[in-house]
Amino acid sequence: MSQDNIEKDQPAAAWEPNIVGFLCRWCSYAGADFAGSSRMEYPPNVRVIRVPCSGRIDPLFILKAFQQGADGVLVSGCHPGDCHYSKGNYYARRRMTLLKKMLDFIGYHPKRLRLEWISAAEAREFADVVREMVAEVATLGPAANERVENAGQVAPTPSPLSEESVGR
Amino acid sequence: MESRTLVTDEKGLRNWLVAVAGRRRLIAPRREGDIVLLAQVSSADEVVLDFGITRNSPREVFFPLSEDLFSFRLNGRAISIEPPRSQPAETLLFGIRACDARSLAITDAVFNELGGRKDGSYASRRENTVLAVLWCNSVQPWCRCGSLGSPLESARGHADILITPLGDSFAFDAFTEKGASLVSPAELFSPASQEQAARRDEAYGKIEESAGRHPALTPVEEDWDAIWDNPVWKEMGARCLGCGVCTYLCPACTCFDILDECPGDLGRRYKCWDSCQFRLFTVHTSGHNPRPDQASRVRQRILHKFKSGPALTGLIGCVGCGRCLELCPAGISYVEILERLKQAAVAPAAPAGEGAAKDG
Amino acid sequence: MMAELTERLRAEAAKLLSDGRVAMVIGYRQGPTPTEVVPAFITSPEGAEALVLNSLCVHNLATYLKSGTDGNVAVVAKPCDTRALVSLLQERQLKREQLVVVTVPCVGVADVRKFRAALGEDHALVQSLSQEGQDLLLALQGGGVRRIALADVLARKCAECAFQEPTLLAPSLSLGVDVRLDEGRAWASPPPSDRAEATAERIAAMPREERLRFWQEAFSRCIRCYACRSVCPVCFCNKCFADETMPQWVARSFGRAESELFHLVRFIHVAGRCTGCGECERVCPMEIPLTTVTDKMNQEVRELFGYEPGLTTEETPPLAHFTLEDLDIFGKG
Repeated sequence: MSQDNIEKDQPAAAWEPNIVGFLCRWCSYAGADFAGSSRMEYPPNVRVIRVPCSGRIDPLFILKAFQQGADGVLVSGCHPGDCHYSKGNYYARRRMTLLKKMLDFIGYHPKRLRLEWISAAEAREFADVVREMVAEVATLGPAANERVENAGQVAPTPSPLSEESVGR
Repeated sequence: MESRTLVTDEKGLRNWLVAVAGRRRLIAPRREGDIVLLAQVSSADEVVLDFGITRNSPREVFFPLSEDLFSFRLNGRAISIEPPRSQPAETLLFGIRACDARSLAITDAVFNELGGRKDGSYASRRENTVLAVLWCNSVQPWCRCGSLGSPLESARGHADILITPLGDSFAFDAFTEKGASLVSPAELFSPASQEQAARRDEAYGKIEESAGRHPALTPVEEDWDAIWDNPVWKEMGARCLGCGVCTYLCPACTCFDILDECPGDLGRRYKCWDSCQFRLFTVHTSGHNPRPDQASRVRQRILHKFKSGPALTGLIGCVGCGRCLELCPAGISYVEILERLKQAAVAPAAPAGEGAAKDG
Repeated sequence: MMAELTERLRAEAAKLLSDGRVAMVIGYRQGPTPTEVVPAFITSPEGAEALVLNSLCVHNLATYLKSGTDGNVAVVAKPCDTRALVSLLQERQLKREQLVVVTVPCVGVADVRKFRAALGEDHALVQSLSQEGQDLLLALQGGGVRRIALADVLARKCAECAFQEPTLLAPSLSLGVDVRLDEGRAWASPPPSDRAEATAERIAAMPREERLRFWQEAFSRCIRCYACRSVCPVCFCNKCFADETMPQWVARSFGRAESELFHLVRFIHVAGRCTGCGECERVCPMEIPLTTVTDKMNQEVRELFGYEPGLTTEETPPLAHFTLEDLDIFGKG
């Protein structure tokens, strides 16, 4: 198992937003690929996870990404009407809208979850979205700063993983 | 050991807690919403003295919800292993009840004595912790401490310090050197007068008498064959949701799981609580589950505590704290089950039983 | 009325069993002590005598059917419980023909914690419990009788409930339809400031850091006993995400907001199917205010999709379908 690990020992001043992007394979991922092969410049802070369809995205993945230290999550799929599987993105549309409401209620900043429709031709749009989102999350700061570790535990056991983990 | 009874008022008690908290970690009852929980407190003002029993039991202090055994780092093909970073802090555990103190004998038997081995971290937490029992003001509806022994014996046998509310003051009795050395500074305390000692004895007597009203509970003596198919298991199993509340709140439960977590190059192996009431507890990798339904899991819990456990350790695995009786969402009561087992032994012909809507 | 209703229930249950129409009747019976009511699983006509009906019958019995049944089963259902049954039927966890639904009229149920607090020291003295209208009567040792008005210990979900009729599921057997409480409900609807929406608004109005901390502290009490999941009628996955080990979504450790992750995912997984029965909060040993989130989610589902879970088997949960005109917030960040 080898996974890219973000540099663990960066001093706080050098913190960079760590954003996870769930991109659908047929539209958004292709769009991102197009942006890359067109040599467009945009910040490298989005780790891309390719999914077959935006409808595949279980809110679990997004919540897990936040729990693992993501400062922001980008979700992008085909435009409504253009889903490769006809209707996956319609389900995603409902699901993500509800998730967004819940996250807001729980206290997550709404700008940390960004929902987009980006087609395979929209390389520029992808680059713009990434640029914008990285800038916005940068102003919000690390999501981790808002967490309370082991709050209320009788006998909290400090874990090396809480200090040195992916994304911090 | 012989030691004088000392007395202080509530202000003195809180000042004592502040003094101790300066030198030790303080775990004490604290109100959170409508419940009182044992928690690490930073200020003695947070400590509550007026409550029935803490929702959580002191087991968390010695046998944490999750605990790292070691961490490991992968460097290419090489693995380096690091022991846990922290050593258990010196602790005062204040505000547990006599029943809670008694439960430590049971967890000691499992973690400190079974097979002649000590669980290292459990043992050092026990050593580093002073137990200060707060004597109860009243017996709660769910308390069955008196059925499993004498509350006073439990406190005397397992606490380092027993603190007894006397109305306007508190009596401090230390039963161990560890406890005695912590009842300081001397200015906070004065020796108990005869009258105060009498009031203390009265407080003991009141609880002993109240608690003693419930019938004694003893290990299940009947043969395994005689009780294995008692209809009570199916009946309780039908109701049981497999939720784990009973086992997780029980001060005397000790089941755990060991898991690895390795999200990248850095990982750890940890021990965490588990429950015999969970369906997956006994599932094998083949998919076979020797306890396939809730009935067999309920049977396991009761008989482990009241039959096989005592056979192994000499101790009943229950202290009568009443948490499971109060909180089981389906109203399953070990008191009722034990009574049914006894009745069946006396009159074996049982009426048509009940069962689950769907097995498993 | 309760006494009459109980007698009729026992007779009907016995008949269902002796006729062989069902193999089991799931209802309520007295628990280990006179002040407790627990679920009953009756398999013989004689056993039906044990059934009781009163305002301590709080359990949503639909949860015992969530993985289907072996054979035909009758279940005693309060109107709110029928909604959970409808949810299960919508998702084909149950077969309608195997189910005999015995509906009983809504009389409201007590919040068990409030009831026990109201009982106080008398708890140990109670010898029997009965119900007269909307009062609970407790006969005490020594001859006294305590009367606790249901309105004083009412479950919050009842106080705010908009559904009183079991119109949701054509019942197989409806008891007490012709028996009405002449005076109507003996409790007033709570003022708007006490309702779930107001609680949600208060929390939503908190500054973001305070809100985040509020929820983190609430979830940090969680000991991951999974009682909320076990009791929930719509949590029926054969392999819950929390039990999955490949990959392990939720570690069994207690750092890094694992408990919060479990709850948030569970809330979103049940959203649109949750009927607001509040059982999750009732069973939580750490008294975490779970219904604050489930009520909020139900409110969102109502507003976003115009949907109320568990009303009719002809519908499907909103996240299981869509329209071309759904609200689209994508692209607006």
